[in-house]
Amino acid sequence: MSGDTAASPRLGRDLLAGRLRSQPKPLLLATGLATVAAAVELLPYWLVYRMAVEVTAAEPRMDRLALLASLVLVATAGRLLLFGAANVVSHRLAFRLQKALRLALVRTLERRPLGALEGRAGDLKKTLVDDVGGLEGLIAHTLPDAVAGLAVSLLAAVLLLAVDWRMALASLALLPVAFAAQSRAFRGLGTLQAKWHAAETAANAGLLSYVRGLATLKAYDRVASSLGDLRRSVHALADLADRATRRTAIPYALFFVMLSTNLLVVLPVGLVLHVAGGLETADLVLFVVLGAGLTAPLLRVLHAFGALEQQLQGAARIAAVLDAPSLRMPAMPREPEGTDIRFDGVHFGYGDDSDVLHDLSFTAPAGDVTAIVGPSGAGKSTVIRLIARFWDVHAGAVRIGGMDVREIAPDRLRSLVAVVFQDPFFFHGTIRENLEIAAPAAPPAAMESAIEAAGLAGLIGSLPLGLDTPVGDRAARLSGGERQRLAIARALLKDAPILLLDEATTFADPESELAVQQAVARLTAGRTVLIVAHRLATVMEVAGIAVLADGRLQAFGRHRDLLRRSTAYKRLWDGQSRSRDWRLRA
Amino acid sequence: MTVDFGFDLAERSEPRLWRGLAFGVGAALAEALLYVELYRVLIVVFGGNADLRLALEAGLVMLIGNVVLVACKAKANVESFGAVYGLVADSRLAVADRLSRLPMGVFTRARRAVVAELLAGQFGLYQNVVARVWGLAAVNAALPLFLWLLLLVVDWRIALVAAVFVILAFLAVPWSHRLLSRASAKLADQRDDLLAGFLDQVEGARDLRQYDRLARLRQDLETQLERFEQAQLRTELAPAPALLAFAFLLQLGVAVSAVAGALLVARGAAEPTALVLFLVLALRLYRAIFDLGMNLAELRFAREILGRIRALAAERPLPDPVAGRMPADASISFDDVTFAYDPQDGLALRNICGRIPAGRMVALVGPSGSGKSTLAHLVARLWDADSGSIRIGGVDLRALSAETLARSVAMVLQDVVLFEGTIADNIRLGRPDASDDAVERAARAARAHGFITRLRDGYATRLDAEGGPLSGGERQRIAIARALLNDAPILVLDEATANIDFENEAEIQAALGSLTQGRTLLVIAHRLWTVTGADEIWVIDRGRIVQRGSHDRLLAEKEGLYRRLWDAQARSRSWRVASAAAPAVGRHQ
Repeated sequence: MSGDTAASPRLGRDLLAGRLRSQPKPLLLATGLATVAAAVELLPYWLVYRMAVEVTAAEPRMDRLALLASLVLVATAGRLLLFGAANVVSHRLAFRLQKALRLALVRTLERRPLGALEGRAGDLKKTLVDDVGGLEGLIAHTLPDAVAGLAVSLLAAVLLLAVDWRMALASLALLPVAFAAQSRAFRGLGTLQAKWHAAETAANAGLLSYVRGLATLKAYDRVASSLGDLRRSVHALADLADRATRRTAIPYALFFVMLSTNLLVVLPVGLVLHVAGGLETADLVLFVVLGAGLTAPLLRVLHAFGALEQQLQGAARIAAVLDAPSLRMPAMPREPEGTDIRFDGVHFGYGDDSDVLHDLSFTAPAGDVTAIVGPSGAGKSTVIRLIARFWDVHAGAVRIGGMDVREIAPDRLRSLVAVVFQDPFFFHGTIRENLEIAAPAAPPAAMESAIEAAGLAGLIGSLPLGLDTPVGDRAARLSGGERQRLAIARALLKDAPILLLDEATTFADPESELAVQQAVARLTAGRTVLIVAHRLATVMEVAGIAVLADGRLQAFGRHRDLLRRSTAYKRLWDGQSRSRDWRLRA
Repeated sequence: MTVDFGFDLAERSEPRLWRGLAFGVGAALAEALLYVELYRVLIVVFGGNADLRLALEAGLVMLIGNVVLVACKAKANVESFGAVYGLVADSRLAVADRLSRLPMGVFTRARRAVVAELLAGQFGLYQNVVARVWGLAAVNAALPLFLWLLLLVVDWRIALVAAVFVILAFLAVPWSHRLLSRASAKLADQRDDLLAGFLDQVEGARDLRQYDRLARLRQDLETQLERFEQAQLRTELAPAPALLAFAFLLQLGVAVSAVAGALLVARGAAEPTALVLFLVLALRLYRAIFDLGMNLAELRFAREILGRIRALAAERPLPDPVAGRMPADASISFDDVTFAYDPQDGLALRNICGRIPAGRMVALVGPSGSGKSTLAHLVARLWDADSGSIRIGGVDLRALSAETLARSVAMVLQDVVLFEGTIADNIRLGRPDASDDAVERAARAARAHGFITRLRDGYATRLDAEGGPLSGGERQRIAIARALLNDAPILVLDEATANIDFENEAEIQAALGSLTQGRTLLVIAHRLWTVTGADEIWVIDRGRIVQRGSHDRLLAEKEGLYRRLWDAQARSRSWRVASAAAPAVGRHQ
């Protein structure tokens, strides 16, 4: 159902570049501080070199040695503080950006068509929480680390070149080997990585479904290791890891060693130059000390880039959500005249799929009840979704009081229509709080009469905390029938002239079910009602029944007419009548 | 910190991991030997005796040393990575197996999410940490040790001064952990709140938007985001004093040792080369030690994960009998059964007594929350009764092996669970060794053969984790086929199963007809008329059986709960949504 396109890293790059460019100072400050900190990091190396020179002098001077040693301390303290400051600035920037993005995302979601959110809570949560969370690494670590690492390497290279260009080149001699090894290690890793992700997804999905089905599996005395598919997918991960490691172990070790210790070239070359008289002892010591300082920071840069791709993909998913189209607002909102609902040649489909609704036309008269019936997949719930503008039609129009719903101001539309779903949503809070969302300023009397009419007075009276009883996570503490009635009470409080109702298919116990029905009866009185009915008998007395099949209107009329005229309706009716009186072991 | 690979979880040990560590230590040794050679070279250079032979020798030693180093590192990686992922795969499956021996009742919806996250996400983290960090930690601990030993040989006084500061610095490590865990616990709480807010915003959008409440909710969310930002920053800064102390003490060690060394040199009590070697080594040594500090933090994280996984694996399983007994027949008897989910919430069932003779049908009727599902679940041993006993064919459930119980009791409930795999696999769950013919026979009896063969891949059609591409009613019929194949003599059935799919009610009802034939039936009933044919109906209210008898007898008890429920149902069945013109409630046909 999702209209979002797959995320491309470029989208993510653009998003971040745009956000960071609008406020360049903190980023510049952070990378600047990190660079200076990295430069100061070189200082102890140089000081150690000076100490070595001092020690090997004919007359070592203690005061200078002590000075140099304390300078090592000062340099370290300075580096730590600079590094800490860079860290604070970059994290502050990262956290602020995260907050801004999360807010922007939430605001975007408010403007999106509701249909685009349905069933996507998991994805969107991942983007809001995990993808935005991943940006901390990018802004606070990857960027400063990469810049600082490069800067230190460059600075060290310049310094060493100034001291002795031949030795400087010797220090860099292993760089090509390291990079060749690295590119060899990474060749073909892309496909392996893709396989890895696929294998990991499969294994995780298998484990999730295992946990979900534990009781069922136990009932058949099956354990995880006896499920071939699960065992294979979990072990597939290990096999892939093993294969990838075998292939990359040697080049990767080579790459790592070549960047972290380069005595291999520096020592023999230095000795040759020293013997030939072209290199002082002290300079030899300098290169032995600092040679590794030249290339080791590059490791940091490469580690940083390793994480970059994933972080950018996260950023791209954020960008995709931000860029998704919002519900179109009418430029000049217009007021409906009346509350009748009319479908005029409506075509609609989700995504690129074929039409769910095809050339649908019918009218639900004002102040009366109209039912929609049909087999599952006929498009019944879609009808409700289009009236409430979860989605907009592809062709034709849905009109309320003669006015296209797209021309009505969204606020106005919301105040006109109340929807009661099969699985109403309640947030973590008390019964009162969940009712108050319908009418924040409702006087206690209105609240009470809604509760009474919804058949909840008895329940609430029996609770020690009454209206202030917490409903639990997603109202888990209430039974199905009680949740239904709470949703009805909410709709009663809202008191909208149009009611869209999706009949519940699940069973409450007999008394609770009766209570729900009585509540529905009170809610429908005096409104324009469109009801999606799953049990035909429930709606056999309403003024108009629209029979849908395969997204098309098969017939429209009253129960008696339809039984005569519509074979589709008759088939549904006969099927349900036959099974209505079914009994076990009759 | 002791090395913990989690062998106990995998129920086997893995010598390759130890080999991997040994190769890591070997790599550290090879690197240390490079510095031994460097020391030799420095002595010669400072003695003014360097020649080309020395250069050649140094080059050769460096080359050999580096080759050994690369080889050891590569081998260490191959051994530990390959082994860890295999080990973790085994632990995952072993822990998953152990879950199935726990009382199923503990897996509430929230709990299932936690367990799933542990098996999927946390295990993934664990394998990544273990594969990488133990190896790195081994190298980062071994290298400083070898270099320090070298230093000890060269000049023990400088070596001792340096060691004191390393020990001092490591005292700051637990301090930083304490600071960090305190701050991150707070952050985790706020993160949970934020997550709940997001979920309300997204999942609740449908209902909240029609009540114009999103903006209000967003304002709350803004405040939460503001607080979260502050908490994030505080958490980031929390361990700073300890980390600064750690890094600073290490560096202080370098400076103090250098000055001490210089004093010794100035007095002629130490060789200048010894001090130069120390200075050269100091930087490499401290880099390794600093990294070790970071590794320890990661290992602590890995240990926490392992702790969580162990806690899960250590939960008390339902006791399994040593030698399982066999039930004599398919009768069920309840003898004074009492049960509470949570002692604080009061009893869910109290003093239940009753007997269902083999092949008979008992229906459980009562308001929602009365305990009828709980009673049915106890028969399948999703929980054990707190007191009293349930017997099948005269044998206490707790004296049946898991296998015997599975072959004796089948359950068909409203929420069907299908697994990724083919349709045939899913049916075969009922009896793993069933032939293709037997699978098809079961599917036919369950009225599933028709729609299965209409699918392009027929019985080989792969289902996703949600059971797609099947509809609810089709999924239900697969579950019935599974139970038919299982052929247990006792069936626990939720009657609402028949009502999953309004268009195909008749098909499901026919399927249930074949399933229930000739078995002992315990039915959880919602629609009373479906169970009027039961041999006995037990009416349950607040955990007790308040009435029992045949439909006719119960109906005759005018003041009884059954009669009340029956009347409510009769009215509800004939209820019609009224048109504007028609009277509202209670018109009978």
